[in-house]
Amino acid sequence: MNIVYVYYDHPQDRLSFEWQCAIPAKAINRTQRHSAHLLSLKDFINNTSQAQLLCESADVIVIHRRLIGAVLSTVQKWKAYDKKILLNLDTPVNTLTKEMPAYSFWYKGITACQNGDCIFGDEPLDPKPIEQLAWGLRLVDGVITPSERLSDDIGESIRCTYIPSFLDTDQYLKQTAAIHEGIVIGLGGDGNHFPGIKKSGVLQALGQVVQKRNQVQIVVFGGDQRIYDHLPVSARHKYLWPMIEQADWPRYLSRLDIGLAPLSGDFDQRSGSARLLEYMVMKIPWIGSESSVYRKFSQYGWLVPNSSDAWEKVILEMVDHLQDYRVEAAAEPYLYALSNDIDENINTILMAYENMGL
Amino acid sequence: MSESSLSRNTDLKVRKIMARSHMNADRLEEAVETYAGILRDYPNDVEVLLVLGNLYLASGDSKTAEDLYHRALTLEPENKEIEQQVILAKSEESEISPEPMPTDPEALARLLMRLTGRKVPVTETEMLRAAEMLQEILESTSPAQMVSERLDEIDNLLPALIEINIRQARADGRNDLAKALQGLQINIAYQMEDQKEQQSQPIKVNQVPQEPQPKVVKPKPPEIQPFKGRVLVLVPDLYDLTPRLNILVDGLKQVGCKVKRADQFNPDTDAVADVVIVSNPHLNPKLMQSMATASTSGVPIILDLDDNYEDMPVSHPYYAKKGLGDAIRGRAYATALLLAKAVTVASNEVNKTLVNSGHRSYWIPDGWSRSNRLWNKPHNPRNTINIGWVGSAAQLEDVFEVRRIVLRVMREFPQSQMVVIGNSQAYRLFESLPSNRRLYLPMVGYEEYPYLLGQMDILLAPHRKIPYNLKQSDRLVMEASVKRLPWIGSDIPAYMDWGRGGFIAHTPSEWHGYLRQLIMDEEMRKGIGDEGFIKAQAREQQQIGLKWQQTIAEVLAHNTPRLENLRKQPQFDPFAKSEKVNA
Repeated sequence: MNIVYVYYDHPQDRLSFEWQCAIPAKAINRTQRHSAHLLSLKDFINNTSQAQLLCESADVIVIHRRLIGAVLSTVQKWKAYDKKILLNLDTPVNTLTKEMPAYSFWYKGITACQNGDCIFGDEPLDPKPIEQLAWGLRLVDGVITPSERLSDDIGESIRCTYIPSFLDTDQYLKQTAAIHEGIVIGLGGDGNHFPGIKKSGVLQALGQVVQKRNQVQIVVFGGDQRIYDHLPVSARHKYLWPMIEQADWPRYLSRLDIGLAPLSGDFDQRSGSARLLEYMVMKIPWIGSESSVYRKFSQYGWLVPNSSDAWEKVILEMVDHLQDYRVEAAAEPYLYALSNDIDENINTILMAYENMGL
Repeated sequence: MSESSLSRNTDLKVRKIMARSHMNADRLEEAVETYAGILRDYPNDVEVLLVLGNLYLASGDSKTAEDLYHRALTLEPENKEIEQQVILAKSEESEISPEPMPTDPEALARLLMRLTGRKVPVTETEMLRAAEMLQEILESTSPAQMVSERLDEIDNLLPALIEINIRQARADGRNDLAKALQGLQINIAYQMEDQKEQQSQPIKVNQVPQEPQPKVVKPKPPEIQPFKGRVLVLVPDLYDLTPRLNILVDGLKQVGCKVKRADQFNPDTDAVADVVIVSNPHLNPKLMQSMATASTSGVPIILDLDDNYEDMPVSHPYYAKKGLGDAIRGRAYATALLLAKAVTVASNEVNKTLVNSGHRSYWIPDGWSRSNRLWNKPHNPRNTINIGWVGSAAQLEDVFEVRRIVLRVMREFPQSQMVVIGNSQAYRLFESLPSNRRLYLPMVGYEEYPYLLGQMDILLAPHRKIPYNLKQSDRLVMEASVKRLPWIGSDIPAYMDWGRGGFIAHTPSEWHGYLRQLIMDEEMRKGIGDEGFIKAQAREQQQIGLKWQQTIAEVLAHNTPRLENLRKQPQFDPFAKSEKVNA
């Protein structure tokens, strides 16, 4: 099978593109029986000679997220030549709220385009992308999403398949844990997760934990200043990491002693579980919110209800007995993470592509 | 010798060779321009002073000629031949005022006019009358009609009309355009003089006066040979060719013509074309310039209009870009109609209007090409009956004509689905339908357009009765017919003329009835679709190519090439005259 992944080269999409397109593409090419290519959205809609060549020979074209504007016409074009078109959608756009950066794109049509290169048209886009996406969903042969819940939502009207995110474990396994003083607890995500983190009660809990255990330091990753600001901890105990490129990410991750994965609200309920897999492959003990998203991972970590007290209690427990939890994390959770390696699971993806639209 | 003087010598040499070659090829305008250019840059070149002097002398302006000879003599006081020229110029009587600047463009224009036959340059009164007339045409609600009504006046004022454009071009710093128009002006002036001469010629003595002839059957016009010559197709944008132009180019190639596409006319390479077809030149000033240049080069021009620009409503999304409300575009449109030998249009109704207005106009409908396999590709099976509408923002109001009927029928037939192509606002008119019973398809490129049509089972083509719609082409129903897609359309002439593959609905109840019938009766859909398909075969690219071929042959048969006319006349040979004088 020959697959073309079409991606939008934009900071907001980069991390998701890595997980949803770049990592599977590499794995597909490693099979040596199938091939995959990455194609920028710009080339796709401009039908450059490279795009023409790639799409002509493709069996499946996977559009990452941005099924709007000229992408719709281009999708139609390739459907005319019997290409199977799939959408990879990992953002539950119907649950976006105004505090989330993605809201301004999908609901207000503001693309925050880079260097004036607004490939979707003049801003604000009209009709709004949320409306255009609804048209687009009727055009594609199917949707792939890394969230079971989102898959259920979409699947009510359109064929949708849940394909979990798989790890490129090689990236992580070559990284050894960084030696440091104190205990580093990490939490974060892109800006869309801020409301969920705020509502989960984890930030207040961390404030209490730092007061009670002076050796604890908090790392906010993903570059969201709002999380950092809302964390009631002195600047001496908290750090804000910017959005890190995926290739560098394991190096940063290796500095964490405890990983947190708070989820709250409709948007978070439609998240994927890549964060937990990363903690597990790095043998980092983790605590997550009790939710349908993480329920199946409960045996590999600690799930807590969303209250600051519950979070505080469990975090303190883990801080105080970190060594025990480390030993535990290096056993079953680690093995589970290894079983979620992309190479081990690439056939799941290929089978899904094969079956969709039939 | 320094490097710069070496390069100046080379430049001079090259330019003289060019000037001579223009002269030898009877390209008098170019020759005069080139010699004048040399003299502007090399004012002490004796050879060029003499050539220009000879030209002025030959045109009857002996005083300017004498002045030029004097300048040459000052540079070569011992040259006896120049002395002779001075004497000759002095001996010629001339009432023409000498040119203070013989290389000035206006002086050159007057020189060329005299050399090529036009005796009186355009007067300011003519200019004023021409400007007034142009203004009236532009302000008219129907420029074509106005043009046709005032053809005689336009004929008389043509040099003045072009003079206005020349001056405008100069004011805009467009000397190239001015030059091309100047050439055109000279040609037209020459032809006007020629006509006058012919009219004033007395009946020759040995000519037998014609007896009144009994009414006889007109002799059959000589059979026109299929045209297989060179066609230059000038288009506003080489990278955005309309389907019509693609069919034109490929169709003509298919019937054996040599076709070149370009966005401008290059006199050095394109003058060999037998005919130039210019598509919508008023949309691109470069094309207007090209039309003028092509006309100067004597290549007959066919103007192809793919839309009904005269009736384009202000609400049309392309009005700002293509409509005639813009003064420059309006003027360009009127000028293009004047310059063209013939006009070709996509709509028969527009054609009728143009013919009635006195234009040589031909209807060449839009076509389709079998080489696009998507026209013949069946659609994938579906479990809905798709009622479709396709259109642009300009046609939104047309959808209102049938919206309620469609919603009513769709309530009756749950297996039906509304498909709207190319206009999201029109799609919103059907928002009251559940989302799984409506589908929006964005417009695609023309290559994939047949695929979109394949997403429908019944096409709706409603049109309000506005002049623009009443004169529109049958393209939509023709394309539906190629896809065997049954259609229901408003009673506009183009659809009624097409008459196959669908129904004409005159009233809302007819819309309702036909739509119900087509939804219910699959056999009927198929039968009607097949009928339309048969009819559409006549519009396949090759047929359209033949139509173009025939039209070009007819246009050329009626054409009196200007260049040929020029060549038939006794030509002025400046070198011959000077040799005679010297002898």
